[in-house]
Amino acid sequence: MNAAVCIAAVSELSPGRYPDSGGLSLARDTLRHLFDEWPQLEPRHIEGLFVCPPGMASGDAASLFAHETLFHELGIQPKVAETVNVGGATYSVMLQRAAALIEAGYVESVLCLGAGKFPKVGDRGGEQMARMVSHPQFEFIYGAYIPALYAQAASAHMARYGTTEAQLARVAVSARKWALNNPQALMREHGAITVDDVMSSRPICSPFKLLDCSVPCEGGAAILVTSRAMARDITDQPASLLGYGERHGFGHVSQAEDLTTLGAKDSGRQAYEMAGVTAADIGHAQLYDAFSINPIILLEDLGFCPAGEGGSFLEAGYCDPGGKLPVNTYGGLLSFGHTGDASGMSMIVEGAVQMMGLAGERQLPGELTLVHSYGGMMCEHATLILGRE
Amino acid sequence: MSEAKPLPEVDETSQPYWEAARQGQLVLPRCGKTGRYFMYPTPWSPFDYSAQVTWEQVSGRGHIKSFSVVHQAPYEAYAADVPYVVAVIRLEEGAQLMANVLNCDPLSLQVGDAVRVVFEERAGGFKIPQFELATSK
Repeated sequence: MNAAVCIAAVSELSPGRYPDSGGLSLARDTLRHLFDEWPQLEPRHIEGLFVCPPGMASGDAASLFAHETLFHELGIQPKVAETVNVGGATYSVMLQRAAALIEAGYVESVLCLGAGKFPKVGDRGGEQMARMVSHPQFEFIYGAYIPALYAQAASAHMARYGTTEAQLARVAVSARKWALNNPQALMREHGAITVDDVMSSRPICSPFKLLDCSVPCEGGAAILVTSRAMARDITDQPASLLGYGERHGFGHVSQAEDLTTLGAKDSGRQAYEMAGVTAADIGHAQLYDAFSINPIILLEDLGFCPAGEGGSFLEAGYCDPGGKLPVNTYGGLLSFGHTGDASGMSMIVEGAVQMMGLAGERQLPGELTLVHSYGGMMCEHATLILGRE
Repeated sequence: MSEAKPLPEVDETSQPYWEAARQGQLVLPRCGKTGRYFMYPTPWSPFDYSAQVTWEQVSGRGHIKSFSVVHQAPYEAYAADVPYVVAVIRLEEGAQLMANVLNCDPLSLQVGDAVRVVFEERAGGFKIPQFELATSK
C-alpha cells in the first residue's frame, strides 16, 4: 500500500531514571539520540516541530514554550511549530496533525518530540498528580487519584460483563512475556510473572494490584513524519501512515456516561475507514496500557473481539508471543515502562519499528499494525494504522 | 496529627452548590429548557447554551455506578482512611457525582448498590456531599 505520509525515522531513549536531566534537557538527550541513530538527518529534513511540554507531570510550567527553545537549538525556522498536550494521546494526535499538513502540501515534514519525567509519589508528587487529573472541586476532594480513577472503568466493566481480576492479571502477564524479548524493557530483568504473582501483589486501588499498574519511569522519543519523497531520501524502509482518527469524550471520569466503552470505538472506525481495512486485516496492535483494564476495553472498542470478551480474548493467549494478535510487542507501559509525559510515544515507536523492519529479535511478520493511545483519564482517543512501505 | 482533608475551591458558579451543602441539602444545576440536571456547574446549560439555569434540590438517592477501594493513599491527608471507597454515584435525577461511600464495609460493596446522600464536615464549616448505603448490609 502506498501512502502519502510516512514515518521516516524513529528513536527512543531507554526507559529509566534520568536524575541529572530536567524536562528540557531530557528532550535534548532525545534529539542527540535521534541524530546518533540517524546520522543522515539534516536541518532541511525538519520543516515543522511539535513538542510535548517536557516536565509537565513534575509541575515544570516553564516548558510551555519548549518548541521555541528547541527549534532555535535545531537551527531551523520551521513553517509550523507548537507545544502540544493531549495527555497520553499527545503523540498520536501530533502524527495526525502532521499527516494532515503534509497531505495538504503545507510542509514536507514534521518532527514530533517528547520527553517525560515522572514525579516520585513521595515528596508531594502524589498530591500534585492527583490535582492534575481530577476536578478540583468535585473529584480531588474525595481522595481520587490516577489508579482510583482508572479503577472506575475496571469495576464498571467487571460488573457489566463479568470480567475477572484474573483476566486483568493476564494482561500484565502477557506484557511481561513480550518484555522478555526487549532488551530495553525496564521489567525484563525481573523475569516472567504468573497470574498468581499479579493477584498476590500489593493492593493499590481495587481491583488493581501493584502489577496491574504501569511502571513509572522517565524517557523520551522522537518521530519524523514526512512526505513519501522525503522519506525515501532518509531510509529505504519507512513506515506508512495509512489511517488515523481521533475522538475526545468526557472531560472527567465521574461524568462519563459509560466507562465500559471509550472514544476508541469512534477513532478506530475513522482510522479503519481511511486505511480501507478492518480489524481482521491487522497483524498486531500497540494499545496504551496505563493499567491492565485498558487493553481489554480497547480490544473490544477497536473490533478485535465482541464487547465484553476482551478478558477472555487475552486469557486465551491470543495477544501473547505466538498468538493470533500480538499486543504490545515491546512490553507495554506495564513492563517496558511508563515514561510520564512521553509514554504515548512508546507504542507508536514500536508500531513504526515493526513496520520499518528495525525490531531486531522481536521482529514480527505482518503488513499492518494498529496503534492506539488515549489521554486525560481515558477521555481523549487517537488511533493510527501503520503499514510496511 | 494527620493533615486536613482538601477543601473545594469554590467559585462564583459553584457557590450555590456549596452553600446548600452547608445547610445539608444537595442541589444541582438544571437546564431551564430541557429540564435536565447536569454537572459540573457552568454559567450556561450544556444542552442549549442558554443562561436559563436554575438550582434545584434533588432526592439524594442513587446507586453506585462504579467504585474502587483505595488501599494505598495518594498523600498524607488520606493515609489514616485506607481502605476507603472512591465511587461514581448515579443519582435518580440522572446526574453523576464522585463521592466516598462512608459507614460501610468497603469489601462488601457492589456496583448497583443503592445509596443516599450524607454530609461530611470539614474545616471552615464546609459540608461535603458523601454517600452511604441506603440499606445496611
